[in-house]
Amino acid sequence: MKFGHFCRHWFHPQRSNNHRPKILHQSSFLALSALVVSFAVLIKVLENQQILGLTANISPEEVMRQTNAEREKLGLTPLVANSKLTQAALAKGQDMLAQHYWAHVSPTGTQPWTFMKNSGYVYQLAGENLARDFANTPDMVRAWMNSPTHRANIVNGRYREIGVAVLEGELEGQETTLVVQMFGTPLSSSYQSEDNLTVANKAEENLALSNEPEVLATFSLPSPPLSLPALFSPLQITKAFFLAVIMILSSTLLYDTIVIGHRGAMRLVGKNLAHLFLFFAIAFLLIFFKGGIVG
Amino acid sequence: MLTEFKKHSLAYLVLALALIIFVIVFLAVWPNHLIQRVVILALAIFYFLWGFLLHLKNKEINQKIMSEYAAVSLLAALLLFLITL
Repeated sequence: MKFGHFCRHWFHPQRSNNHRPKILHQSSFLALSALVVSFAVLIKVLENQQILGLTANISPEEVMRQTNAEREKLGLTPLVANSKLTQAALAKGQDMLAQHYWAHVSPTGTQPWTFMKNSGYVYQLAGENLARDFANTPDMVRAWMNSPTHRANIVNGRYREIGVAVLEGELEGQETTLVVQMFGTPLSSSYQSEDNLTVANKAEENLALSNEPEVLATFSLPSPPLSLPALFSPLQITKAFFLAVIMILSSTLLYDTIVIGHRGAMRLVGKNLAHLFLFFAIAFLLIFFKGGIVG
Repeated sequence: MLTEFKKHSLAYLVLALALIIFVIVFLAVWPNHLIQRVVILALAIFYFLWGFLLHLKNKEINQKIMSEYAAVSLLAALLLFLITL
């Protein structure tokens, strides 16, 4: 009986709620706002304490495969995996996690190519892409391709080799999956420039390039995600909760509209139909939202 | 509901069009979360103003109604903003 009264008060327009379901009152919208903020904070805390899994479905092999797939679409030669570049990428990632920075240049001024040199990779051209917190490889590569500077690295026809490292650890106080992608053209390599001119014999120019390497780089800073099974990633749990909130509100708005329309009653309240439009738009965006920021 | 739509058809068409544009822009700027947050803020402000102007035009504006629009805009903005963190 009490439960029935409670439900009617919250979801049915009647005298006890001034003929407007209690959940559609301004105070309830504010309470729901506080609830979604609390939920998001809770998910972040659980994520940071590794109670919610943080295992991205990203492997270096898949990153290389998809990077080459993007190059092949443009008729470019695929990049070949190079163990020294991979070692450099791994060292860069470890340095970022150890020193807690998210940048191409470390707080102590170490440049990306320093890691390449330390691994013994001698290049005439080099580049770096960074990404973090992506749940899967396709989203990450798509984010890179959407960013002109990242894209320039991936589809640079002058690169010959690639090294990719995927690391997990705490970065800037947040558990994250970090991806370092390094591109290079070895000093001994000849390559076709964009206008198809062979520049293998431009030794001096290449040496100059190796002294002042051309580092085409930028980094993407995507958002949430990752989990034990992908189905229960923090991002997906948050999405599910938010969608549930929208569904409850939308159902109540629809029900309220029908009941009041049937009664032919007049009320001075906001437009239910407009609220429905807005919540449908928000629901659509939540469903199709993917993590990812370019920094 | 249909009656309500017909009564303010122009206002609802403007709202629907604006929401479609916001949705397209929000998805198009991915993965730049910073711009997405700007879009979210713009959406919340637009919705509040839309409610204000519609009720002002109908001469049925009061503090309670505007508080409702403010609260709905806030909730909508938070739902999207928090997902971008």
